Order: sequence, then structure tokens, then C-alpha cells
Amino acid sequence: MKFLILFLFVCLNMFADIKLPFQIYKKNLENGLTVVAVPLNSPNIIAFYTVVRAGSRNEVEEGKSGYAHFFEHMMFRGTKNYSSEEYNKILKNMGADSNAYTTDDFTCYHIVAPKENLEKIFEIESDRFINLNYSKEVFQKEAGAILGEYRKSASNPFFALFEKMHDTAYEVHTYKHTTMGFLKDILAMPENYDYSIEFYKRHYRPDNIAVIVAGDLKLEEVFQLAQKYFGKFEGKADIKKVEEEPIQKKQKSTEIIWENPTLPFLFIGFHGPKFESENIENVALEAIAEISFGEISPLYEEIINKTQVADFLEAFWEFHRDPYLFYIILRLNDKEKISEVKEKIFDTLENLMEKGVSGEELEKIKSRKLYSFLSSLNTPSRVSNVLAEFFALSGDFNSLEKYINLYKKLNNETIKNVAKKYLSKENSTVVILYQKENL
Amino acid sequence: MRSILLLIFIFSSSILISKIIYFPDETSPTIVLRFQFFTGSQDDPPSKKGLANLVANLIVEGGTKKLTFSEVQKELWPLAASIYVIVDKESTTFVGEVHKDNFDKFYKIFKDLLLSPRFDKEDFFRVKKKIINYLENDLKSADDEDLGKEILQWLIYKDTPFEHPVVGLKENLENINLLDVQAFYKEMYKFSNLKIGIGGPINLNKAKKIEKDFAKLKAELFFPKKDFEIKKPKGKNLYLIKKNSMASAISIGFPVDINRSNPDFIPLMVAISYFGEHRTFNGVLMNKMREERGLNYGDYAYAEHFIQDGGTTFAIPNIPRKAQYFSIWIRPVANENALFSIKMALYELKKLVEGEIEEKSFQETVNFLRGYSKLWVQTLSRRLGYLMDSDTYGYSDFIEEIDKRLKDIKIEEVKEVIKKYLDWNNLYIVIITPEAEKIKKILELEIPTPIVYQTPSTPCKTLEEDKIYENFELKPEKIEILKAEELFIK
Repeated sequence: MKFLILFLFVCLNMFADIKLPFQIYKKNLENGLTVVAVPLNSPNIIAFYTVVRAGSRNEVEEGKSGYAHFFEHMMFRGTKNYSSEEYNKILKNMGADSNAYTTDDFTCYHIVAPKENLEKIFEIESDRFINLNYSKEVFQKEAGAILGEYRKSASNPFFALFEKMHDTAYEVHTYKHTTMGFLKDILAMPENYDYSIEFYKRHYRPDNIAVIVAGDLKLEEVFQLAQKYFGKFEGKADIKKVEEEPIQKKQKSTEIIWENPTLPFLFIGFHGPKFESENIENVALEAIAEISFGEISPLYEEIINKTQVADFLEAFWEFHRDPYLFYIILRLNDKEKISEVKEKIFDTLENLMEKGVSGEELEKIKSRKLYSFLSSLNTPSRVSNVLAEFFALSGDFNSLEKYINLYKKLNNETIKNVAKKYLSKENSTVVILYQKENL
Repeated sequence: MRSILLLIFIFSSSILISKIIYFPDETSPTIVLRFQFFTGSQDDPPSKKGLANLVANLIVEGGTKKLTFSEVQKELWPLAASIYVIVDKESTTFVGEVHKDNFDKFYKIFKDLLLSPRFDKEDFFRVKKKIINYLENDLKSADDEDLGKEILQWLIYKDTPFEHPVVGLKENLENINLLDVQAFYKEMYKFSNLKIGIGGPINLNKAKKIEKDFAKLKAELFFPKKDFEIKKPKGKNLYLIKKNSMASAISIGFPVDINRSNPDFIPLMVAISYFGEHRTFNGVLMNKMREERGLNYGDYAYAEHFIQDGGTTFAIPNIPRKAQYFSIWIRPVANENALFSIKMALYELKKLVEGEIEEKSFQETVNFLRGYSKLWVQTLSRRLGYLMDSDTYGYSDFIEEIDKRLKDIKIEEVKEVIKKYLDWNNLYIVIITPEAEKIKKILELEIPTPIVYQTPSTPCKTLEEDKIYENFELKPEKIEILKAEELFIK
């Protein structure tokens, strides 16, 4: 099986507008549900993605972290029409690849299957969005699986570092907890059946959801089936306000003492902007992460390749609906070197604020981003996934094309300004993790 | 289905064979290269366990005779090209992928990395240190589930060339020097044990030219390692691996006399999918353990060595093995439920071995595999990888073979294969747990181990069934406690 993405509109000339290598056809149903169809030459295969603009950022009540993720699990627990067993059997008979995931900002349900199942998929997916019905007993049992999911990650220092970073860097915003939620809230989940229903009513409404179908499809059929099955989906989303994070005035730092053998970690987070499709700051931070801390950066060359003080260095910037964190994370070979390396990082950032990056580096990142973008869109699933993310972030499918075109406008002044605005010491949070002595 | 051109180049001796699996695809934006050398950790010399993996990683992360590693990174970076290596027991596969616009630039470096590796001292120390760090701080400390799987293989393949982890043993790794690396490369990276996979918008002449470039590698006799015998476990052998952790991670398994080349393998796949298809709600284990009881995040079973491919639920291609093993993966459970979970999984395995499969579920599983297997090859790289594995195991296309074989398969065939290859009584059990002594004592004193529900509200029917699982006799033949930090040293 193989896939052809339509490259008719792609132009690799850096000065021309970059067009997506596929056409997006969109329709809004009367109830507010957004439906998107993307025809691709993927013989006999379709991807069906349903994205809900609700993630852990929407867990605004105290003690209720982790419910967006928990709710994702509950969506597999049956309706009045199809029990969870029946739902699974239908997918099983199709030979479908089906799952879901939750992020800080959205929840995504996905199925990849042979195209002849399109109507059945519309039927069972609309059914669980409209008629979800689970008992308190089933809800409580699923809470065990959530605890199990937490447990499987608990031995990993990265998991602990991210938990600690968010809990420290954020004071009031719901990004204070990870998508998994605080452990104390997970342990209390079995008692909060009513809240789970409330979460569903608030967020799982047609005006807060998009259905994306990509692959070997007929446009009219997709829109007809969407109307037939999702047209009766009623209600309006009731999104509670997420408290804004106040501006951080001075550097924060904390540490984790690890009770298993580990090398020391240094993790630095900086408060950054939120995603807006026209905001070049996001693109600048993405470029800084790669140019200043990626494999070709002088810092990487020095501490990974030459002095070998660290065996892992990565910086990354992920787009979010609200102001998020720019991360720099390192694993060092020697605990004594933490302060020295930390200084080197802040020196690198100061230099960036002052001098920025070279013209050559800018051209290279533009080339890298473009080719990596075009190379990655090679299955219906990957196309749907990237569209789901950009819709969730902005509510606008065109934001994907706008984003990739922002790279053309990226210049050194923007890089310097963004570094000055966000990557200062006082805007940072430092988390250090090291092994307990005499373990 | 696009036609597959399989070229076999035969040189002066009939033993000196290299193959190209060529999969032209003008519609793909990228070109993929998968170069598989039939050498792996089974070829590690005594007291140098980990050498094959170190050599392969140094090739990928060590530069060429012309370019330092940093210069290689700087060249590849703007191309958004990727090069990585998969090292297993008997093969090492270098995978490169790049946008078609950038192929010529990319290929020049890819070729030089493999044909003229730099093997610089600084790179050697860096890569070696990174591997030792992975072994000591990631595998043995930060990933209880992978550690359990690695220990299971160590037990299954005891006293064979497959015994030690591919990553190596700590003190052995420390003793490896650059001369060992150079000698291993010279000895094992031969044209005669290379399978070349080329896919994407690339013409046949170019593919042939690539093959010719690699003919520069030594084309001398290459004798693959002889088959070896694996001792079957007697009774239930329980290994408790003591480690600080929040929960208990469990792996169960035993060697099987079958791999994909055997006609029984596809019926066995049906049985395993029915019992515990990876990351789905299809299997008996997943439904009984997670869905009905909320014991953990997931419970699966495998008919061969399995590594998940990134963010997908599919297996990575290009890890063929002549000697395979059956395994059950029980994801971390509360410590007090470790023994109950094992009893439950083994009771269900016993039922499977005794032929308890519902006809309806059987047919659903067959339908599932016929559709699902086609999704394994959605990307060009995976398609190419599967075609190479098909060739290795003696098929023109294993995915087509699955469909052909399953079209009219009968439940009796599957039951027969289950009886032939699966066993619920002679196996290894590995538990990574902070409560090793406690678990040992419970077993020795035969203290009951009922399920301790993590959440309230369990239906009566489930509670009744729990008693059956609880009363299932585990009776290990052997119980041994080991400390995680003391494993894989020498």
C-alpha cells in the first residue's frame, strides 16, 4: 500500500508562497460542527480524525486535573446503541487501527481503516459523541487504568522533570499540571463520576469539534454522511475561562532527588507566547531551539561532541493555545558541572539577544523546516493529525499554511527580539534532578 | 499493489550474494534506503559484548574519512534528512530517508558513512559513553518495562549467542577499544552479507549504481552463524528483580520453535492476536485485566520479538530472528496485585492452550488481521522494510501471504498450532518490583493472593471469576531474587 500526496501546488522556491501539498475542503454543519475532507491518493485507505478543543488546560476546578485525559478513556466505554464490546468488535472486523490521545489543549480520536467502512465509522463515531453512556461502575474501573498509566511512567526521570517544571513555573494557569494530572487527583478520580459527565457536557459539543476525513474518498459522500450522522448532534459548548498566568518577575529554581541510579539532569523552562497563526514569535522560538541548541549549534558541538560534559541536549518549542514554556533539557555526565553548563546556556542566550543568528543559519533552518514538513505528510493519518493540531490551536485549518509561510518572513531582528522578550533569566525556571547520595 | 523488482546479483562464487530489494515509487516525496548487514550482537566476541551495537552506532554518529561528525551533521541538517540504525541479534540495518530533491547530496554522505567510517577516538569515547549511560541509567533504572523484556530474553536465550542484550554488558563495553571496532567492521561488514533496500522516486540505473558502490566492500565468503539449540524452561521459573519503583512490571515468556518462515506462523499470529493484540482492546488479556478489573494500562502477547515503531502501534521491520520467543507483557500493576495478575494471565493462557477459543471471536480476529496487516505498510520506509523481511523469511510479500493464508483458515488449524507451540506450564516470569522478598515469602508460605481492587464497584460475576484466578496454582519450580543494578555487568 502506498500513498500519493498531490504535489501539484508545492513550490520549493523560498520566495514564493508555499502551498500545502493537498486540498482542504471544509463545511460547517448548522450545529457548528466543522467537517473537513482531504482527498489523497491512498488506495482504499481513509483516516477519520475527530478533534475536540478540550485538553488539560480546561481542567479549571481545583482537584480536577487529569479529566480531559480520563474522559478520552471513557469515550471507549459504550453508548445506549453500542456497548464498548460491540464498538470494539465493529472496529476489529474492519481491521482498523484505532486509538486516541489527549494533550494540554485538545483531545483527538482517530481511526484508519479500509475506505468501504466510511459510513460505519461515521455511524459509530457520531454515536459515541452524541449518545455516550457509561455507568459509575465502569467509570470507577477505568480510573484503575488511568492510575496504571501514571505508574508506567513513574520510573522515568523525564516524567518527573516535566511534572516538576510545570508545577513550579506556573502559579495559576492550568498548565501547572501535566495532561496526566496530579497524582492526588488521579487517586480521587473514582469519586468524581458526576464531574466527568459535567466535563463531557461542557466540551463535547458540536461547535467545539471538527471531523477530518483524509484519504481515498469522495467529497460529496463525506459531507452527506457528516450531515446524516453528526447533524443531530445538539448543544453548545460551555468553555470556562482559564486563568491567565501573571508575568514572572524573577527566576525560579527547584530540584528533585532521585531514588534510582541516574545521571543528573538540568531542565530550564521559559514562559513564551501562545499560538496565533500570524504571530512570527512562535516560528522564531522554533528556529532558536534548533539553531542555538540543536545538532549544528556551537553549544552542542562543545558540550556533546568535544568536552562530552553532557550526553543529551535538546531545546524545543511546542505551540499551545495559551502562553507555554520554551524548554532546554540536558543530561550531564557529572553533577559538578551543572552550574558551569547552566552558565553556558545563559551565555548562549545573551549572545543570541545581542547578535542573533547568521544569515546562513537562517537559510538552513528555512530549508530544514520546509523539507521536513513536506516529507512528513505521507499518509492520510499524518495529514489528518497535523490538521487536527492546527485546528485545535486556532480553530482555523488555514493556520497550517500560514505557519509554514511565516518562515519566509523570519529574520535576524525577530530572532533577537524574541530572545530578549522571552529567554531571559528572570523569565526562567530551573529544575535539577540528581541521584540520591549513597543509594 | 505496485510491482516489486527483486534483483539478485551473483558474483564469482555462488555464496557471494548480495540482494537489492528495489521498490520504485514516483509518487513518494522521499527516497528511502534500508541497508541490512546480517551481523548483530550474536557476533560479539567473548568479553566484548556490545561491540556490534557500538560499531553500528559509531558508523551513524562518527563521521566519514572526509568529514568529521560535526561536519556531517551540518551537511545533513538543512536537508531534513534522517539516518539511524537498528541493531538486533543477527542483523544491523541502516535506514536513511530524505526528500527526493536532496538525494544526491544525502547519498554521498550515507555512502561514505558506511563505506569509509571515520572511527575517530573522540567519537568512539562519546558513543561508548552514551551506550553505557543508556544501559546503566535508562534501561536498568528508568524503564522497568523494557528492563523486564530484556531480562526475559536473557533467560530465554541463556547459553546461546543471543543471550546478552544487544546494547552489551557494562564491563565488556568498558573494555572495548577502537581497534576492536575497526576489526569488527572489517570482518563483518561485507558485501556478501548485505541486503540493500531502495525505495521511492529513483530509477533502476541509479539503484544499480548504488549497488555497485557497495560492491567495494569485501566480497569474501560469509558464513552465517550456525543454528543453535535453546534449552526449554522446566516448570515456572520466577525471577524477582528488586528495584525502587512505584509498581511491578511483568514479562512472561518461553522460546518457540517457529519464526515467520514456518507455514504455521500465520495461524499462530491469529492465536496471539486473539489472546493479546498489541495496544488494542481486541485481546482476552486486555479485556479481562484492564477493561473488567482496571488492573493496569494494558496487557498484550507476542509470537515473535516485537519493538513498537515510534508513535504507531505497529512493529518495526528488519529485526528478523531465526530463534523467536513467545511473550506476555503485563504493564505495571500495583505491587499487591503482581501475583494475582500473573495467575490471571497464565490461567487465560492455559485456556487458550486447551483450545478454548470462541468461534465468533476467532472469525473477528481473522477479519481484523486481514485488514490490519495492510496498515503495517502505509509508509514507503515500512513497505520497503517489510519487503526485505519477506525476502529474508522466504516470501515474495508477507503481507499478501497473510491475506492469502487467512482467507479460508479454520479454527481447528489455529487450535492445532496453539497446541504445537504454546505452553502454560514451562516458562519464565520476570517481575521488576520493590517487593521482591515479600513476593517470595508469599509464594513460599502459599499465602493467598486475592486481587486488591484499586477502585470500587466490581460486578459479582467478576468477583466470582476472581476466585478462579486466585486459586490458580502458580507453584514456581524456581524463585530467584536479583538486584537490577547488578545485572548486565559482565
